[in-house]
Amino acid sequence: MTRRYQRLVMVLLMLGCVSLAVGFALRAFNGDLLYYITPTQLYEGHAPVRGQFRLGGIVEKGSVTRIPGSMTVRFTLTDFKHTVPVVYTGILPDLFRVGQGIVVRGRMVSGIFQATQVLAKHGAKYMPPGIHQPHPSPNEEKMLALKRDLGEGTKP
Amino acid sequence: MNPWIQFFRSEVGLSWRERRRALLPLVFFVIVASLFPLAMSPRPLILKLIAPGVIWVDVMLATFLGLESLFRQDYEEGVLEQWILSPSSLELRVFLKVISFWTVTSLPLIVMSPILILWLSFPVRALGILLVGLFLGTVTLSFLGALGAALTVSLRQSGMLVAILLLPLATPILIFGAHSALLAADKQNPRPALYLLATLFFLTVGLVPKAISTALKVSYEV
Amino acid sequence: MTQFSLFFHRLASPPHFYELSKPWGRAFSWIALVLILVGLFGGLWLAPRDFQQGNGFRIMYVHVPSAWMSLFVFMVMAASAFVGLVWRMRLAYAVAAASAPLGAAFTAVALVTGSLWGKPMWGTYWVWDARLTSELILFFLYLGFITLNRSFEDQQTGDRAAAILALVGAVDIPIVHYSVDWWQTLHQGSSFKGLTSEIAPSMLWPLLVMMTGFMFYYGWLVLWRTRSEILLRESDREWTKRVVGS
Repeated sequence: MTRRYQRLVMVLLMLGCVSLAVGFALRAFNGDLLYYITPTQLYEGHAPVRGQFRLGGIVEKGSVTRIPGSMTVRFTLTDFKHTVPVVYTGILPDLFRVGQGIVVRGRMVSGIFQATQVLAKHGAKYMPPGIHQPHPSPNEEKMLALKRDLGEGTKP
Repeated sequence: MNPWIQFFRSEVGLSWRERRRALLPLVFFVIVASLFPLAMSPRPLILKLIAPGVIWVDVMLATFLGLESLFRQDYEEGVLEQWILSPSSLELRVFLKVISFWTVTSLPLIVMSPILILWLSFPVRALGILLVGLFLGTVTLSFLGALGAALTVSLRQSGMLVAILLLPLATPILIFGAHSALLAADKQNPRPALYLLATLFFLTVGLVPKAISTALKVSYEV
Repeated sequence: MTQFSLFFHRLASPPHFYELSKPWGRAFSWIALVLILVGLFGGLWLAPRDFQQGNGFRIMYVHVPSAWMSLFVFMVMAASAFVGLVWRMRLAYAVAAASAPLGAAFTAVALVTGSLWGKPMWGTYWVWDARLTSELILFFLYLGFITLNRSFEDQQTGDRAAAILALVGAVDIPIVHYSVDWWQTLHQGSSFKGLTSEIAPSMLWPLLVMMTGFMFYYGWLVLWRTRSEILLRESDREWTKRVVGS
């Protein structure tokens, strides 16, 4: 084995390893390694039946009700295909409002998501209050906002 | 016989002759794993949740502790200098050296881990995924650890330093490894996490031997 | 040799760099001061409130430039490490060593301001999502670089060893940057898509001014720190004794 031949083999092996690595990375990103799942993914059975997990979605319009005299709030999270009812007791973040992207942590108990933590996701958009109304009604624009908020292109 | 096979066998043989030192990581591994049920709570529910994390952190520490002195003796006896000066590939030598270390030190950890699973009340159905993950992870950790050992080979007291250098680089392995086992225990799809482990595995195996060789040369050039 | 490459060859010589860096550093410091003052005034007073976050978004004017610099400085470090290892340029090692503590400081500021921003807006100081975790790892990598660089009796060995670490650690940079696209993170996506931005112009310009200001601030400090790194490395040379003695 000459030295040059040896070097050539070495470089080829390195390239082979790197391309295998890239291949596996691409396959991994087709899967669902996520910080949270969406209501649709929940309905497709991507969540543990009993364990805790995180659910991300938009707070549905007209769904927020507070139980008087307590810190308990009920609302539904939606991704405009499926909705999940959520109940939470505690302090909500400043950005919690209708039409806002929210990540809740907790578990499903008989069809209702019992949240132990509510986190507000804010978009990458910044603008003065006059230009943009917080809740534009057309569904399409909301879908776009949701896609942006929930991180587009990560779904399988 | 092919000289490279001969080299590999002699490396394994050398580590095996000092098997009392080679087996220290294994003893460390078992003892640390037994501390968690004692320190936290032996309730199966809690143990089940922390088991993958405990096993993975434990494997990582055991591997790094064993690796810290990987090149020390070769460096002090001048063998390393011979390797660098020899016309045959330093990268390949480094590769075989790390693999022989892995065979003697990490393989026993993987073999031992099913027992720890029972201790930590981890569901046995996740065992397969855990073992695959541990295989990919320990090889990757061994190469990273060897890099740390090579960077600090000329330092006398390097244990803590190696840990500071390597732990950040090793965290992705820890995250995806423990994550895959937890997903498997939850009856979810662990494959994406395993694919990412495989990504790290091939990146490390492909590129880190080169980095280790450069690091070893650095300790000789003045 | 062209004028341009001649310029770079002369720049790479430590005594020449030592001379040149003084006026440049001074200029950078003034530019940085002006830009940061203008950016702060624009960001804290002139920019309107955000439609969602009210005045709370203003922490962006420190958070975003620091986070951006935390990545940029590591790239500078990795590039100098590469130059040092391949072309054996001593100046490159000095730049890398001078950059590391600055990069660590920018990372720390990004993490702390991010935490303070996260509490009111997200509802938590910290989550272990991909963006925050990879940024934390970046901070640890800076610490590792600094420690390794100073661990050897022979500074040159330390430089080379730390350079290898910087090159290996550079894999974290794309992970930090693309984490918000690759994973569904709590951290929002990037506000910049190519040359367009999702930030209203009245809020954007102070941010751009701040970012440029931070670049010059880093430029100033790195020149200044590189000068002392050079003196440390060349302490037995004639020219050093001349410079220090005078």
